[in-house]
Amino acid sequence: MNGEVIFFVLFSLGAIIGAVFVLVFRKAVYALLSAVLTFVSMSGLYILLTAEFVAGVQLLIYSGAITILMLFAIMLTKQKTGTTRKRMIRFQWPVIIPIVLLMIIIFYGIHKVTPPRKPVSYGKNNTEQIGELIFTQYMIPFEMISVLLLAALIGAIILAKKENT
Amino acid sequence: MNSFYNSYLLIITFFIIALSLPILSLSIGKWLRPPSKEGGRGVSYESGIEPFHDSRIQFSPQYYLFALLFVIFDIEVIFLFPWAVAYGKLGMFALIEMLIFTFMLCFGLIYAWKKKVLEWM
Amino acid sequence: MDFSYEWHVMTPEFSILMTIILIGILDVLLPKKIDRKWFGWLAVGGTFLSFGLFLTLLPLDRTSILFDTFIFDSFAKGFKFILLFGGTLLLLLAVGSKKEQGMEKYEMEFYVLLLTALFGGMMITSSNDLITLFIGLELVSVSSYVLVGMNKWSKKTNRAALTFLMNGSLATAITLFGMSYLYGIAGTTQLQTFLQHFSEVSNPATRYLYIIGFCFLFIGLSFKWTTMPFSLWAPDVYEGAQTIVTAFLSAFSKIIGLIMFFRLIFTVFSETVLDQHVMFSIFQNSLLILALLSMTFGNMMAIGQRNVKRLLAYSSIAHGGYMLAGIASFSAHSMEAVTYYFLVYSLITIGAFTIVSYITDGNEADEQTFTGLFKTTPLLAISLTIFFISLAGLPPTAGFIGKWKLLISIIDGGSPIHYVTAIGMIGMTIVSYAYYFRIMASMYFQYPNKEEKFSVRLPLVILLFLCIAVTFLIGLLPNFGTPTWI
Repeated sequence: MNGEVIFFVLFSLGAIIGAVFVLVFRKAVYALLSAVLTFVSMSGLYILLTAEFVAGVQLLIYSGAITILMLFAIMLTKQKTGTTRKRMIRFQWPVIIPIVLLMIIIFYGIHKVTPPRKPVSYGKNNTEQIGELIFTQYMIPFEMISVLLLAALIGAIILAKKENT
Repeated sequence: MNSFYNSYLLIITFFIIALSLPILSLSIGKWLRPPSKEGGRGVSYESGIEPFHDSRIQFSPQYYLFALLFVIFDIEVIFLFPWAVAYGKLGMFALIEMLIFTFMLCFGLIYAWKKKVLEWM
Repeated sequence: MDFSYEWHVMTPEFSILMTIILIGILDVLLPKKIDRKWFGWLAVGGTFLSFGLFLTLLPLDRTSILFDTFIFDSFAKGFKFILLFGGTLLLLLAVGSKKEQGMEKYEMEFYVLLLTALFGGMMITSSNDLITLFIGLELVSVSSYVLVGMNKWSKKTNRAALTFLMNGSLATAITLFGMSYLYGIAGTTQLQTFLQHFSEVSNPATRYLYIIGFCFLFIGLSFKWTTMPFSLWAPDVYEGAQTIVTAFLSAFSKIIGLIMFFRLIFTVFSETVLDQHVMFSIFQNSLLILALLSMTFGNMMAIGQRNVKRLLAYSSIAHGGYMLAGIASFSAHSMEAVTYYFLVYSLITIGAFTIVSYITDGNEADEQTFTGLFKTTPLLAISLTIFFISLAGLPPTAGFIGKWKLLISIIDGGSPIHYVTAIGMIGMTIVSYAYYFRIMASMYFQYPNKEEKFSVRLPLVILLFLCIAVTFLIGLLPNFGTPTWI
């Protein structure tokens, strides 16, 4: 058992436990903090896969920006102490059946596949390679992202702006 | 491969130290200080005004709008990183691409400005 | 790296993009007092320009830019035509119809978002790469989320927007999950390489994973075209959104989702001989079953509806089922039949929603509003009848030919489940007569509740004329709708 496996187990446990706690916690802020645990563990998993750039993006966007956004969203809501999700509980347990079924179906598929052992060059210049790909091969989607961000920005302003009237 | 992981040892060490700092300082403090049974210790500011309201207040939606804009520009910055790193290999064409990209986002900023979203009310 | 590609094949998209930027800059620069109504005409002009440029590109053979992230082939030609046509009609509808209270402020945003969705859709039609497909899909989704929620003063709209956003983001997540599987196995995002890899795979376990990936992709995308696993959001959202946006969702965003799936299926399965493979036939059969379920569900639920927008939402679920069955038949005719049906469907849906938006004028689209319409405004009543007949699939309209072609392509599939689907489709079409004719009957044979004449606005007349003319034209001359370049 080498260090890679230990850290893989640690990070994946962190990711799963965080995700489960998001569902379990009744308080929205706690749920959000456990989502951060998931995000951070996932960036750890990316580092194990030597995808350093993606790990950095994960940390910056998810555990940084998105978390802050959601925190603001929680703070925006009118607090009602004692609001729990009691009404949901009745419907919660039967959901497990399809989830387990889905897990079995997917696990059956993954379990049988032996991934091709290709020699993969572990990227030292991960970010540089991504940059080259984005700006040559994938430049059309890249420019589309700018339109997407613009549309999102306009939409955010329309929907969230407080009207004087 | 191993050298790649080993370079992260430093980060792990750092992480452990960072994690243990608050735990250690808090628990050492607990051991050292004399136990107190007075109720006043729980108050957030001992000799100030007594807190009379819940700490959880409703924020103005304006904060949310700022957070939204922040996320959008954060994503833009993410795209600047690989461009800057690979700039030497990419050359002129990538510069134009990036200019178009930033132009769209700058337009978004000007739009937000014009809509008076950036003004604090 | 050499960048001397044939960039001119992207000129239709560029002109849409330029229109977006132009409208945006004008809105920012112009003083507040100036009326912004004419932005709509500017947007229409942009689509016309794009359409003209597109027509000049038609003689080209298959052209590919940047490793197939953008291609211009017969598939792209056919669907780009439909999208541009539908987009122009939608913009005309938006120009002509009265905006809801408070929406005058957001004139520019409305057109920019509509054009963004059009841009995204056009990119989807001509992309052969998973990344471009996904970002195009997101362009459409993000603009439709905002379009649905734009009328933020209405509680109903807010609820609709929230429902739409929640369902939509879940669907996007599922789509992306499926895509990650496909990428993980094939190691590429290009559909062409994908196709090669797919036909070479001999390991049944890998194929199994492929099918799982496709299933997830399908389930996620079915949100867009509102068929069975992801269709329940449709009635609420269609009812709550403004009627123009409803027309957009039902005629445009739906078609785009189907186009994306069709592109994937068309590229990946067309040349591979997988018909014998068990997993593939399971996949195909489940698609057909879902199509059958959507038809049944949509038509059965539509009968009981008293709100016309809800009724059209359920009918749109049913139509999604018909089109999905056409795609899933994977027969020699399916390409032609589905293309034809897309064109017809988007035309008549936009036409029907035009009249609904006209008559309801921002109020509740209750069936009562339509009673005795023939007595007050015969022109609108007759046009709506034509669209309903077309939606119901009766001759001599294009809807009949469209359904006929779909049926033939489904029967052509040749397995028992294909026959069952075809029979179900005929049965459900007959069921659908019940609600279409109910509204028509109340339009003709009942007396209006209030004597109210509807004044006729110019853009709407153009729009209605275009829709009706094309409906009859391609209904009477079916081969007119499928020129040689498709």
